[in-house]
Amino acid sequence: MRPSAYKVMLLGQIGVGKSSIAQRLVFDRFDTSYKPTIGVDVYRYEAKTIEAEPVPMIVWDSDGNLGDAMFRHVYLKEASAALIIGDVTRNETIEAMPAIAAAFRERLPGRCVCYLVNKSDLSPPTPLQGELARDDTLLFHTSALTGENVTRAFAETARAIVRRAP
Amino acid sequence: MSAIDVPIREAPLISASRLLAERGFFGIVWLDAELQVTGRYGPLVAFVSIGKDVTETILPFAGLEADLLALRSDRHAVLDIPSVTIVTNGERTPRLNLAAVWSEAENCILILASRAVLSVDLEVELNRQIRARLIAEADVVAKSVELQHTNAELERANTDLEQFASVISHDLKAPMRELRFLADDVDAMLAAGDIDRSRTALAAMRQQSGRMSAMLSSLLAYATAAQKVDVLEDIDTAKLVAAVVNSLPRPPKIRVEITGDWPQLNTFGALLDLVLRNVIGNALAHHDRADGHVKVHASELKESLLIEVSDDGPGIDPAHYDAIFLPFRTLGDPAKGEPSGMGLAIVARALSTVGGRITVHSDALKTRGTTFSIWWPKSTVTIQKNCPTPYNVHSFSNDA
Ligand SMILES: Nc1nc2c(ncn2[C@@H]2O[C@H](COP(=O)(O)OP(=O)(O)OP(=O)(O)O)[C@@H](O)[C@H]2O)c(=O)[nH]1
Ligand SMILES: [Mg+2]
Repeated sequence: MRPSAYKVMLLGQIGVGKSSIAQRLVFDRFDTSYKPTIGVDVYRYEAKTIEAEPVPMIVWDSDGNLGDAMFRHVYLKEASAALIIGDVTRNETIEAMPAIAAAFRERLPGRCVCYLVNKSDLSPPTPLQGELARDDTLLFHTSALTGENVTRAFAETARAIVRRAP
Repeated sequence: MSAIDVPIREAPLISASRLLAERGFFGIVWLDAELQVTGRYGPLVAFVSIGKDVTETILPFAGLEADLLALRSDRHAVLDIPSVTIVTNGERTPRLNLAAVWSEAENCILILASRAVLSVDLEVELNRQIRARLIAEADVVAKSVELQHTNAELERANTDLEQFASVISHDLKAPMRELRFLADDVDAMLAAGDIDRSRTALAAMRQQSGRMSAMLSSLLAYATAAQKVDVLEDIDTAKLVAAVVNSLPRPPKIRVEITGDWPQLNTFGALLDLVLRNVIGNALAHHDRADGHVKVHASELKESLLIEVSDDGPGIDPAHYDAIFLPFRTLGDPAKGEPSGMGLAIVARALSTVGGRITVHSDALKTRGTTFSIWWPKSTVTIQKNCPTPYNVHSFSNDA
């Protein structure tokens, strides 16, 4: 059955900007104060690209504190894609991204994964290091503050989802 | 007499449930066999629209249609989604525990929504404080490091900017002055009727103005790198790379070899051209020997085209890795006609707008040679101009 909307998870460690990305994406706004997400916040968004029909998405903004428990949780059920987010100013959050991608792919093989290196407004584009640099996964430098690449990353994810599940 | 022995009387039970629902401790939603909402009860579920598909109004159930329908055949099953907040039109529901069950009595699916209870909230509050503190502490450390970093960076950036400004203005001034003199010469020659020499002078003028416009284009290329993502074209990458290589100035004894698989792509041609031109151009320009070898190899990965540009030039000290991607961090001397160092900054900027990336492998301290690896995404989309647009699900109803 083709779902009425595709479920897209925002994953990543605490404070990397998952909620800020969701707020920028859906409401085009930004808040500098930190309000941790407890459980999940769920949004509806329609990804628009010129080439394809609008792609309805349900965006699940998750709790960074859930850690590995996330991958055993009902929250991930039937997810079509994951955007895995790191904070460019805190290297440990970036280094954690490939393991999150691996755990997601293990639970839901064949689903789309996209990396977001967030808070790009705080650091100029620099080459990536470590595992992330060798990984053949779509990657965007984003900023929830300026909005850079936020819409684009979701449009690319929508395109990848539709291609896999026509 | 224990509580269990009290005979259950329907009427008080119903009125007690009613009271709890009306006070917002929980809410009930009824679904029909097509998963449409047929009714709701209690202010906690006031956000639910009657008559809509459940997946459109209680968003966390989207994608779980099959699981909801399966409840009918497994009557003891509960589809439980704890601790969710639904955000629409900027408004948030309270944090809810959702549970879908099959109701034998009513022969339909019920969704029970309950408010996450107080003790959990206390735990959450504690959690919130601990987390906020953890981040604040990490932040203080990061900020102070960042501050030192920024100060140093700012100082460097200022000097760079000054240097760049002086280089550009100096470099632009020279051909400008030359143009003035040549124009005066042409005047004098024409007055003397010396047509041949004035033609030569005009050719020199053209050359000087060409130099100036090349300098301005490299500046413009950097400033507009991010804007070249509007036009998707069918690109034969094999032809593109050959054309780029042929158009680059190259010392006669430096060989460029193109190998690997270069597919047909529907992609941002102008941007790919810009990336290849700058990375290959960089390899040619930084070569320090008369004969050398630059290899441009492509391989198709699942999501991207991996393009590796390797040279046998002097190599790069790993300490300079970051610097080479920053604007104006020239390692050569532009005053002597060496590359301005803008090229790789343009490349990094261009790649970050299409979801690609670049890495560098080189260790000048150990051996010669540099390899730049570029991941160019094979699929790219054009974004509609008026994005992002929030999708309007419905407004919260104020009834109930
Ligand atoms: N400068 C800057 N700050 C950002 C950006 N994105 C998020 N922030 C800030 O980073 C902090 C944390 O952002 P959140 O969006 O709450 O992080 P989260 O990933 O949702 O965190 P959890 O819910 O705890 O998992 C907030 O203070 C945001 O304002 C960004 O792109 N640039
Ligand atoms: Mg959050």
